[in-house]
Amino acid sequence: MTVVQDGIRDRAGLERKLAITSFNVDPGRAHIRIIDHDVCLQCEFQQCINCCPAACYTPQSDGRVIFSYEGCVECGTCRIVCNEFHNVEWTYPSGGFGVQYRFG
Amino acid sequence: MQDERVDVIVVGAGPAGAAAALELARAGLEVVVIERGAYPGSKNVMGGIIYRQPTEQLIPEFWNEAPLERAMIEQRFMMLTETDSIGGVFRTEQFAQEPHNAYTVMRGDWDQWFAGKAEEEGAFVIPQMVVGDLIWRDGRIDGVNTGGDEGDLHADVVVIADGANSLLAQKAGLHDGWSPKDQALISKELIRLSREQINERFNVRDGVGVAMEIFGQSTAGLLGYGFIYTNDETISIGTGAMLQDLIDSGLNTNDILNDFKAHPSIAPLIEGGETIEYTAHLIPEGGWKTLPTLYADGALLVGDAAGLVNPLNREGSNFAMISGKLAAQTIIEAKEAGDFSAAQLSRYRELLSDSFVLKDLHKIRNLTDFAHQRPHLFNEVPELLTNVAREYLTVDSVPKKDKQKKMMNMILSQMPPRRALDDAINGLRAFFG
Repeated sequence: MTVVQDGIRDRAGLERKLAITSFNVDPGRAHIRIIDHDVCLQCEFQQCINCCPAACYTPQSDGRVIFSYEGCVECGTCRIVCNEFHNVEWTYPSGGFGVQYRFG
Repeated sequence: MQDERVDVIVVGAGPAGAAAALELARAGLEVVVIERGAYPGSKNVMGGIIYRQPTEQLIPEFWNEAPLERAMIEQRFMMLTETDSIGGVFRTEQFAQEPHNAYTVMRGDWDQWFAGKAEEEGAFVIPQMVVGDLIWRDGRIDGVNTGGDEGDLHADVVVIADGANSLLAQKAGLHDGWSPKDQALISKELIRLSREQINERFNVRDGVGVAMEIFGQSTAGLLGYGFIYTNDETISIGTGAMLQDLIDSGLNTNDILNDFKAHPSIAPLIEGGETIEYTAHLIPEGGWKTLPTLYADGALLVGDAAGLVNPLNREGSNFAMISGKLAAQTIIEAKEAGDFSAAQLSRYRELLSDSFVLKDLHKIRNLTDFAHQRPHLFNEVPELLTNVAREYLTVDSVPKKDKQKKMMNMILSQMPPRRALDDAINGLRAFFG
């Protein structure tokens, strides 16, 4: 079995932190999308995984990457770090949806 | 909103957008502010400190009514190694007296209050609405589309204040996107403690507080810094590093934050506190060298969307507010002239150039390059300074003269004179511009 290299040391802890942050998830639309999952196979470092501050990118055993939008804080990091393959389609969630910081 | 037309549309109700709207509404212009969040501030993050003097230029004596946490009276600088720390403190009672110098604020509260002030002046703030695209007519920007046929709103000028991730600046052709070298990523936790605990742990009293900037292991040795700010009944603790360095190191910002929180010099400050929010945000730190075009036919670019941040002096919200104010001034003049062309709106760039905003960005234009070329400043230097301090303070019956020699050797072996001189000369150049 392939060992998946996860750039996030404490993924579970980060997910627990994010459970405290407020989100108003849009059930109808993912505002960010990996355009072509096969393109990620050519990407040596897959920096989206370790750079995402909300652990939204998860490495798969087949070398591909899965993105889950529900806990996304809309920072834009993935849009900028996927600068070799430009494989992230990045938009804002619809009005009022997405992360909802109470304090910021 | 079909075929509706106003004087100005502001996209984004953060400090830059709200400041522009406030000034425009005061001058009697019809202004609509479109905010994608559930309320102004709901997408926004900063350390975060608001400065009194620039804010007062927009709202005199705001401190009597604004949602403020504590007035900052003490600044601490620290460097961390894996186990040790070294640093310095400045504290003044002058900053405890009105008018104060700076305050900690919660952006959720602050941005709502500040956008509310723009509303009081007559601006119309629409939350929960996303601007999808700009409307172009005869080669100039003529408004925004918020989705569908009904979603067109026209205006003489669109103020682009949509933050660090500005999609509209790119759509307006004002710049072609940020690189990982231009943006820092910060992660931050808000930790609840009692007011008394904060007062005791930070040696302060009700209403006043401490700001700390911390280098070295607070960012795993990457270019950037960690910070701790005291709020009324919470502590803000965070870490920020350049995206390119996060890519190169393979580190995750939250893992760095956890190590920072667990450092023996830091952990006692937050011990027993409950994390009530985790946030992360980009800060555009490319500065002068990546400054986009700031105006187009029918549009102006303000705040983070324009990359107006001074990372050295931890200033951004004041740059945002003043850029919004100067954008408003530009538009008011353009309205009088009946001309909203890029040539007329280029006045904004002149006003910014005459203000501290672009003067300061120009002054520190080489700083990021300076620091980037010298990773030892964030690794070996904290190590060296703590080693020397430990040697100096260790009482071990070694004659002081021998001790001095040993300390000198430590310095010379880790910091050869040529390197120290190079750091000093280039550092002074980078700092003093």
